[in-house]
Amino acid sequence: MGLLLFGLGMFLAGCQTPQKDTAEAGSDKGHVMQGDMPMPKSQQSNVEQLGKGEIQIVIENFAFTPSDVTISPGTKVTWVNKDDAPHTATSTDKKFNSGGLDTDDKFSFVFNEKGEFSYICSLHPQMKATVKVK
Amino acid sequence: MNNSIKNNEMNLLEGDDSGRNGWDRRDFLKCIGAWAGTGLVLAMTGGVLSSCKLEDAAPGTLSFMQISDTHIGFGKDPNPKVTDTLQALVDKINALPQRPPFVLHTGDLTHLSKPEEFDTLSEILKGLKTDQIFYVPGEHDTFSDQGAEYLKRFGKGTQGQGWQSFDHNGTHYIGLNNVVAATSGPTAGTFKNGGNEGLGALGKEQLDWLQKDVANLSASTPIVVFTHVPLWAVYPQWGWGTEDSDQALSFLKKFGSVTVLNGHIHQVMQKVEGNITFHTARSTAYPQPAPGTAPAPGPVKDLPAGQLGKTIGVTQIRYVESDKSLAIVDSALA
Repeated sequence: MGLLLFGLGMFLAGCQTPQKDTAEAGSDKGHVMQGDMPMPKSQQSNVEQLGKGEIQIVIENFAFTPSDVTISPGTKVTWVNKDDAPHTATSTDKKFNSGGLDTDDKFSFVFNEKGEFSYICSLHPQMKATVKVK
Repeated sequence: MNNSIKNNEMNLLEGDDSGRNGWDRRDFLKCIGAWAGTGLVLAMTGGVLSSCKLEDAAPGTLSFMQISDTHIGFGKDPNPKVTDTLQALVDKINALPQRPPFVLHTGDLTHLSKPEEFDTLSEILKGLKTDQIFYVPGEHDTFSDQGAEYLKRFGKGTQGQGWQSFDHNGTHYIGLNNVVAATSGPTAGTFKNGGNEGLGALGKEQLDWLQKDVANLSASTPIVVFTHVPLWAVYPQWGWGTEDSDQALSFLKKFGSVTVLNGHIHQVMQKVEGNITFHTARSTAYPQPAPGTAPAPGPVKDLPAGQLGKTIGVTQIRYVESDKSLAIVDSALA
């Protein structure tokens, strides 16, 4: 149901592209997407400079790291859950929603529109973060 | 407030009462209870907690069970087989000399709200020897769809988003859902569970219902509230509290005896505030850290070998006919 609504939202938005490896593969583990490389820690604070491409946000100790990123339109953001507890990456304006990510599960979303997108973990709403696209 | 928190770990099967942290000898006022074996029992009498060994059991009184946080779908350390431990606890309940008339499940039935997880839970609990099981949801049961799947399966006979009340043997039971209410704040109306900052929330609709539900009850009616997230601020930094619980509790002030049972924090903890006794139950799946003792409230996964059974379990709530109080007995699996 969540994915269905999600798909509809995606269609209406025109060009937003959510991908969740678990859902696509139809199993808990799923496949790891091509080019889904973890970003070295040293670069995490400089994501703006990466321009188009891909970035990864790690979910660990009940926090999104980095919690605020600025990216260019067309960048694919991948969240990976490294916690022992499940989490989600859920946009507060319903633009994207990962659904439940168990340990090591990933979720990707391509941000084509400019704007500021706040998101939370719907299981633990004290976990807050932002993606800025400009 | 914190100094009144009693973290009372009990192990009935091994008679280990060494973990009664914070308990003063003066608390051991009165012996009651009927659980076979040794252990401790807490008696709620006029808001005073007392406890004792159980050898002087008085069989024949009515009791019911609480299970919580079964987390079907969890499969990692410290418990890769949560279905096995749940089954062992079901067997333990079934072996009681007296069949409980009903069982309360205080939420987090599943780990990820998946239909097959709900299926497995229902299949195991079919084997529980009791007349009825009453459920309230935890955030793990509702986070992906605001509880639609949960309500489809367990919402029958409930109000709103799964809240309910019933009477049994003169006591009024109230099941509250504090994991899906949309509250005010910047993220209101999103997929978010519960209140802001990760706290539980009841929401106006449920609070209005609660106020009406208890309006015509006499003040001498014993009240048992069961819900998932604690209705007292155990540790708000981890979301272990309910942001609008004060309003709910204000409706219950007139009653002489109120017992609030919850889960969510996967450990035994209790607190007495006036006429209200708060009690959190163990999970049947895995323990979580004591408040503030870890970077985050995830599973405690590095348990020493053989310790899991001491950290998970069920809770028995027993009526004490002689003085119309309730006794709460936490029983570990091993």
